[in-house]
Amino acid sequence: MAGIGFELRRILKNESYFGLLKGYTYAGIVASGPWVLSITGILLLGFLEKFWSSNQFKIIQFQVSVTYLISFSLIITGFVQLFFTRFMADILFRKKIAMVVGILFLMIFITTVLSGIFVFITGFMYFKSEPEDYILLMSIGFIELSNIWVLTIMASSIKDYNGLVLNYFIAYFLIIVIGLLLSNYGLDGYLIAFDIGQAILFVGLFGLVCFQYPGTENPDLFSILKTQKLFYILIPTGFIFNAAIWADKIMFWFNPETSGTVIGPLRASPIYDVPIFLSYLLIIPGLAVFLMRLETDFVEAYNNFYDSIRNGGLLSEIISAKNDMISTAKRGFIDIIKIQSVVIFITMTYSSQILSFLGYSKDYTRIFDFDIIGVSLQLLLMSIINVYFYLDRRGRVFFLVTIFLIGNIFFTELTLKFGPFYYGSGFMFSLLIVDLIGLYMLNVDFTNLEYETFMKSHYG
Amino acid sequence: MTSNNSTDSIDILLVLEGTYPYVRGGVSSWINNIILGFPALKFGVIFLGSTRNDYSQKHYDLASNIVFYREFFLYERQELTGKKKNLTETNINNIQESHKAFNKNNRMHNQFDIEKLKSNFNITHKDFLEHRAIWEYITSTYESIKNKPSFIDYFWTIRGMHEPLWLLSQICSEMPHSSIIHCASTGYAGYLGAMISHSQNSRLIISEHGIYTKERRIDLMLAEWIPDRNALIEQSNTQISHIRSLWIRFFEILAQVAYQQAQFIVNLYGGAQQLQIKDQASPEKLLTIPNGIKVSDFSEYRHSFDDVPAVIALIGRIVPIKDIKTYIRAAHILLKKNSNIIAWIVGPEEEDPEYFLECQLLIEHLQLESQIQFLGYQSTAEILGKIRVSVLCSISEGLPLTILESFAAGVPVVATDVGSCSELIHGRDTDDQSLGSAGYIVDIANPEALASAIFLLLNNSTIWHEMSTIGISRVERYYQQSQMFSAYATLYQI
Repeated sequence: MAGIGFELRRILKNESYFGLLKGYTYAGIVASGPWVLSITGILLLGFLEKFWSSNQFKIIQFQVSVTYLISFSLIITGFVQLFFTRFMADILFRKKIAMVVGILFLMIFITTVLSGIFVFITGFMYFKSEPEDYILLMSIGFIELSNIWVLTIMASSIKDYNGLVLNYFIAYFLIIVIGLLLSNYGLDGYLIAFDIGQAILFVGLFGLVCFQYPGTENPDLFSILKTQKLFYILIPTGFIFNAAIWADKIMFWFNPETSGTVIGPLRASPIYDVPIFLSYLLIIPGLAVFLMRLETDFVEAYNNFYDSIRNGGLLSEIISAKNDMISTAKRGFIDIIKIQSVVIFITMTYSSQILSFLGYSKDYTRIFDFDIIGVSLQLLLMSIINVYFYLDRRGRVFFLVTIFLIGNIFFTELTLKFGPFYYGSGFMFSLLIVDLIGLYMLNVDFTNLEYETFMKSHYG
Repeated sequence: MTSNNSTDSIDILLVLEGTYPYVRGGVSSWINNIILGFPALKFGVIFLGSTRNDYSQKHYDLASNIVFYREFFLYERQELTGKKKNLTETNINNIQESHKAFNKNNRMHNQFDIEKLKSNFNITHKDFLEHRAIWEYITSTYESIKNKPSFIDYFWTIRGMHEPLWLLSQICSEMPHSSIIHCASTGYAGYLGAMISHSQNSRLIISEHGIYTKERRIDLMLAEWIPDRNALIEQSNTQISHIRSLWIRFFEILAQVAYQQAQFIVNLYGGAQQLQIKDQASPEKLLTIPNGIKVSDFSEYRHSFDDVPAVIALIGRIVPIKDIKTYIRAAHILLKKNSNIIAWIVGPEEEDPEYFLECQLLIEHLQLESQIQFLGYQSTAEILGKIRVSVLCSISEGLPLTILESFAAGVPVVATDVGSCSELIHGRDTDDQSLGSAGYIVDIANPEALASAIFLLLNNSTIWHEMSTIGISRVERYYQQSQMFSAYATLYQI
């Protein structure tokens, strides 16, 4: 008999074509979540010290030092945050649970080397004239924080948000307690408290992951890298996103008209920093909605969509599952906008009262107003990015964060030129533009989703 | 990919699909015979396979008169060729019109525009895979189906069946000139042959051993890999699932294109003509050239009834179409009557390992391991020298060489009523029939009938000797290889 005959069956054995289309959790929370908790802790320590101690300047030095640690460690680990997230999600998807701990060790190693190099270079270049104990404590804190961001991503990929928050709560509670106990030692005392707290957080988060994925299998990197696709675009994407979030702050720190020296090379811009960090506390309600709507409801609708394809649904069923997914995403965005609008409305009505209650100058009011809107828009951007990661459109995310970075630098520079009346609006406008672009693109991409899914995913 | 690639003129370009030189079997040995039988002609060979991994070893040495050999794998990932173009509404309307014409009722007496088919309607491979207009065409066609299959199956079926066409166009444009294109089947090979013949303005001959479209129909009906969305409903009203009928229609169209372009359409036996005509072959192109063998090669293995013990053999590849399981069940029935019988299964086992395993399990289950034996690939002549009855219980056949070879060795045959089996055993025309019967014909998939026919031959030496003699004279008179060669020499016009 001539003919290909039974080999026709191969055509429908296309499991592999769809094997790659799967959800993975982008722990978007790390870009706005944990460090909000960290900022809270630092601000709280400041308030408490006000009643305790008279040495206000040491407190400010501490707060500024930690702010630098947080911001630069986030930017530096930005290179690996998304890349590791995806890699770990793929490992979990392939049920290689036993090697999770092994891979985690590897990631910690890479992060430590990366942050170590950064510490070494900046230490030599900018901190030569600072006391050695300060340099040492800052270096330890920087490396600890860098690793904590990576561990936080891993812990949030388990979706044990309660465990995550509890760990942060305990760590910052200890930082405050130890900080108060060591307040006689001034800046060093606070930094020791901070480093101890971070060490405890490190252990706690590490335990959280190990507890979830016990196993001692050595990851055979060579074979993993052979079979597993790596998404290198996530390396610049993560870096750019974090850099964009901090660009305006850093510009204010280093503009002589808006800032002053605090310690060594570290400068601060109280007029800009106080309102923006206070604002970040106000995205917590939106963050809760984000977790509920986009990390839970949307993921479910998303799974339904791909299941309807994989399980052999009719095109009409696939499209209806898609429409469900779109409306879930829309509802998520609208709910975030709604709740943040309420927050914005209330806060703006009482912004000067809030500031004076907290002991800050009323001069900050306008910037505070801009910032409340800005951080809410940042949360919306995070949500859009999150949806894009589920749709596996890494290029889109790269595009959006790049626009954000360029926009933030450009508009912030403009506001610095135009004067105090506009401070804070650069950050807000850049986000407004990115969000509008993002929502528009998402709308188009959702419309084309089934076409893209089938026609653009050939050959896996 | 290439060997013997001297491109000075080729006399006969053989376009082969899933057979010589990789797969053993009737068609392959026939091709080998044709090549060796015309040593003065320069042959070219194009082998089309499914994926490279399916073909590990060449079973035939390429003869020295093969001056050109290329192999291609249709379901292998191909480099995307062609740029993305702006598909206009005209392009899509073109496709739509043509597909309308592909429908069974419209297809009758339809002339295909092979030039247009060769260019794949001016749509590039890349466009086919990625263009939005193609997506819209596929989905709108899907929406018009009454009994919709699952979309992912539909989509990949459409894609899988069409994708090889771009490779075929490319192959067509790369082929050196040859005076005659000779295809051993329709299907992708026949379609490619038609395109080459059309573009080189050379003659196309199609020799069909089995009827390709019928074999694909059987494949598709047996195929469990086609998921039926409403399996239960469809089974109850015996409706063919849409996916199956798409494939069937696709292969029918490929065949029709090849038939249209062909100068001669050769079959092995008269019975095949009806099927070819049903697939739109013009009757005036049809021609019957039966297989022939070198009878003298087998004469030394002839023996009498008492020379050999009660051994029966099925000689053929271990694949579902040979229905080995019915043979095993028949042997089981025979062994209940007489436990001294030995049943052999002789043939290559590697083609469908899963089916081979199922057969082994069946034998194990019946506890007949010592009486039913797989011998693997063996010299047919030597086997025939050791057996009393040759059995062939396929559910589809063309003109099986095994039967001719059995006749040549004086071994009577019990075969199912498929292909030319009945003509071989009882005779073709009145002259032939007057010789008598060289065995028995039974229905397919009927172990009892098969067993009782075999039983008669195993136990009645008078009938056995009579049928043995009839077989020898039939093969000597009608199925000599030399007769086949001279018929093809006429077709080749040498």
